[in-house]
Order: sequence, then structure tokens, then C-alpha cells
Amino acid sequence: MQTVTRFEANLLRLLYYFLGQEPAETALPLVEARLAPPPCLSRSAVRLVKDALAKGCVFQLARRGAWRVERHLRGQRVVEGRLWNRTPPVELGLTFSRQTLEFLVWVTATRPGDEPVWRPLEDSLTAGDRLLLYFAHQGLREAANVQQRPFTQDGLCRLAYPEDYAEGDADPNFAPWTDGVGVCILEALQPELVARWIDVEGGKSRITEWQAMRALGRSQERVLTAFLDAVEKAERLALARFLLRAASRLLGDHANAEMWVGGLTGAGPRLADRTATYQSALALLRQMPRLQAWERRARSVGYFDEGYQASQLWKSDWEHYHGEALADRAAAIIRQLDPMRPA
Amino acid sequence: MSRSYRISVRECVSKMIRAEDHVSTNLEMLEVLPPEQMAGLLSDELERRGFLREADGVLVRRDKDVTVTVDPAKGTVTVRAEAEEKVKLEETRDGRAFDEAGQHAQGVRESLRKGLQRDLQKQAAEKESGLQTQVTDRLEAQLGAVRQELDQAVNRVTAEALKRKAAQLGRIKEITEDPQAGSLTIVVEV
Repeated sequence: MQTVTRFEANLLRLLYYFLGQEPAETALPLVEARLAPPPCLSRSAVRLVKDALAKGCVFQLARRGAWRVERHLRGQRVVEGRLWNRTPPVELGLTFSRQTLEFLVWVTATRPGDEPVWRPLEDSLTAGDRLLLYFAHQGLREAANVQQRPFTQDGLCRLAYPEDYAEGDADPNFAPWTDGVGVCILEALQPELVARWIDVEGGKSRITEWQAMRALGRSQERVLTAFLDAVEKAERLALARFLLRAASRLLGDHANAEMWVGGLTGAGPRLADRTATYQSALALLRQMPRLQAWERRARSVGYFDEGYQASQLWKSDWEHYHGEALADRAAAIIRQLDPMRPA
Repeated sequence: MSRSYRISVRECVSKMIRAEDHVSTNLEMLEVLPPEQMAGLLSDELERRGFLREADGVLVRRDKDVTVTVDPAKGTVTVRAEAEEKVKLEETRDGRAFDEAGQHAQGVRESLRKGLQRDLQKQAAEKESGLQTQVTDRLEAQLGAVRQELDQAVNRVTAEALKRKAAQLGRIKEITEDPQAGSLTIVVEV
């Protein structure tokens, strides 16, 4: 039997909650409680944290989408299979730095939003730290104000929860998610990202205030631009597959502008405001031409050219999800809301 | 027996109020010819329609308060309406004080002045909002005509581009144009 202090017990309970092993009802009151942090954690507590991270993160990734048979790039070729088939497990290892422990101590001792704010250096975070922060963001977003670093700059948190970052101007950082094991995590989380974007887009029909729509659209546009720039630069276009999947669900035969702006009681006093509101509402749809341009470019890549496999992969994704039809429907909806081109 | 004194305060607000509104969109041009040639054709067509070419290649036409700007290279159109108006608001307000120039009179005067200033600022804001509504309505009213004209210009540019493209392909034998139906038939001998 391992003995831990009250503070350590709370810390472990919060960690188990972030990793989906503890119900919110028992964990969330601990977020509100403040306990003075000890000078250091006991050996037993650290051992339990390590064990929870090792098992919990892998379990969560497997459950959320790593188990799915998918096609992704590995080097210059396309590999099909589950995540652990596509990449040797030895290369999938997650490392956690002292930042993880510091975060857990901070979140146990301080209510997020209170001072002192935990602000690690962006470069000091490992892929493991970032993944835990993502899980923590999911767990804390309903309970507390998490509008602070590293959450505000973390690309994955911003990509999955653009509505949480409607305020603020910090640019999302996608470098860790388009390189190394970060790519594998992003691949595993594709189904979750699809669900999130469908949820956010579906929720737009319930937004009544144009200012709220503008703020959400700005956040979406900022994160999508940064994300698409990053995957394009890293030549990992398939990481944007979740956008095609979400678009294929949203842009069915009967898709129309009302699905995005039907709930607005007004779009703004000026035409300029109305245009900006509608553009914000259609932030995802307005990225379709960029995805289409990738497909056009892919068509021109020859068999002996560099990047042929990557191009073919995006081309097959585009065809599989009927990208042309989606782009046409997106363009029609955008046109519907263009004040210069009413339907 | 105490007497009350009438305190009268007069305030005046004079300011220039401005309102602006704009809307931007992209022209839907078919890429029949290379982009720079399409941009050239569009510039020529718009100049023919009264647009003036500016130093940076952008074409502008000003009609009273509404300005239409077309960037032929990027294919963007911006229609902007602006208005400004000088407003002068004046109001007098009376109050009562127990003395004529003492502490109480000063307090009453100050309170009247603050209330007046607040009301005048509110009136100015209402006038600004009214001017903004006028500008937006004016812009909205112009959009239909601008849209129609630009569509016509784009159609003419496309037709001209098709003729040039056909001439590059071979010898043009026949051109049939139906402006009403918007159709253009070119017979080319290759």
C-alpha cells in the first residue's frame, strides 16, 4: 500500500480525471479548492503520477482514434494501418518533462485564473506535456478560466476548441504538432477533431449575437490559417483530413446558409459589419478553396517528382470525400451571403 | 424668509461627425487567358465605363459619396460610401439655488453643466447613428447597379478573352454574339 499526503491525493485525483479515469463530480471540486503546495512531492506520489501518465495517455490516444485503420505518410511513402502499425511503438514513446509535474502541482494548489499564473517556456514543453495539457484543457474548460499560457498558444487546444479562444490575439503554435510524435498524436485525434468541428459549426445556428459570431469566426480563421500553413510547410496535408471529413458531414445536399447564420437576430449595423459577420460564420467553408488548390497542385505532381506519394494521398482523400462537390456547395453558400451577389 | 435664485447654464457642442461603410467582394473571372492579360482587358473595359486608373493600377470611380474601387490584378471590388456633417448643438438649462454666486449656486451650475454636456453628447451620438444609417442605406441602394455593371464588364472581358484565345488557336471563321441571351459562338478553323 502506498501512502500519499492530502495534497498529493488531490493532485492524483485531478490527473486521473484529466486521463478519463475519475468522474468530474469528484474531481472538479478539487479545482476550486486551494491547498498550499508542499516543497516537493513524495517518491510514492511521483511513481503514481508516472504510472498514470504512462498508461492513461496511451489508453486515451488508442481509444480516441489511434485504433482506426488509416492511411498516412511515413517518410516519403503512404502506410496503412492502426497508429502502432504505421509507426513502430518504440518511436511512439511520449516524454514528460518536469513541466508536467509543475503543472499538476499548480493546478492542485491554485485555481486556474488566479495568480500566480503558471507560464512555462513554450520551448520547454515536450509532446507528452502538451498532450496532458490538452486533456487538462478538456477537463478544465467547463470548470475554470483557462485563457492563459500555455493553453492560449497551444495549437491543438486552439484547433479543437476555437470557441474557447474567441478573445485574445496570441498566435497558435503548431510546430510541435507537425513534427515527430506530435504528428502521430494529431493523427490519433482526427476523429475527435471531426466531432469538435461539426459541433462548433452546428452550434452556429444557435448564435444570436453578431459580435459573438465575429469573435468565434476570427478565432477559427486564425487557427485554421496557422494550422494549414503549418501542415503545408511540413508537407503533411493528410493531417487536415479531419476538415474534409467535417465538411462532408456539414455540406450535405441540403446545406444552406441558414445553417450557419439562421440564429442571428442581426448581422451588424453597417454593411461592412454584416459582411464580416457572414465571413466569420463561414470561416470553415472559406478554407475550401485552399484545400481545393492543394488537390489541383497534387494533380500536377508527376510520378518521379518529389512529394508524389503525399500528393496522391491528398488527391485520394479529396476524391473519397467528394471534395469537388463540397467546394461547390461551400462556394454557393458563400455567394448566398455575399452582399454583392445575393441569391 | 429665504429667496431662491435662478441659475441658467448654456452649453454648446460643435463637432464634425463622420460615417463610413463599405463592402468588398471578388470578381468571378474565368481564366481564359493568363491573369495579367485578363487584368489588362478588365482595366480597359472599366476605363471605357468611366473608371480612372490610378498610379498603383487600381481603377476608381467616384459618384457623389460612393466610390467603387477595382483591383484588376487581384480581382477585388470595394464599394465605399462616406459622409460627414458638421453638427452644432446648443441648449440652455435652468435650475434654482439658495445663493447667487456662492457654493450652492456653483454646485447647481456644475450639475446643470454636466447634465447638459451628457445630453448634448447623446444627441450628437444619435445624429452620428442617423448619418451612419443614411450612408449604409445609400450604399445598399447603389449595390444593385454596381453589381449589374460589373457583371456586364466581366462578361464583355470574358467574351473578348475568348475571341483572343480562339485567334491563338486558329483562323476565326465566324463569330455569333447574342447579347440578350449572353451567348457567344466562335467557329475556328484549326
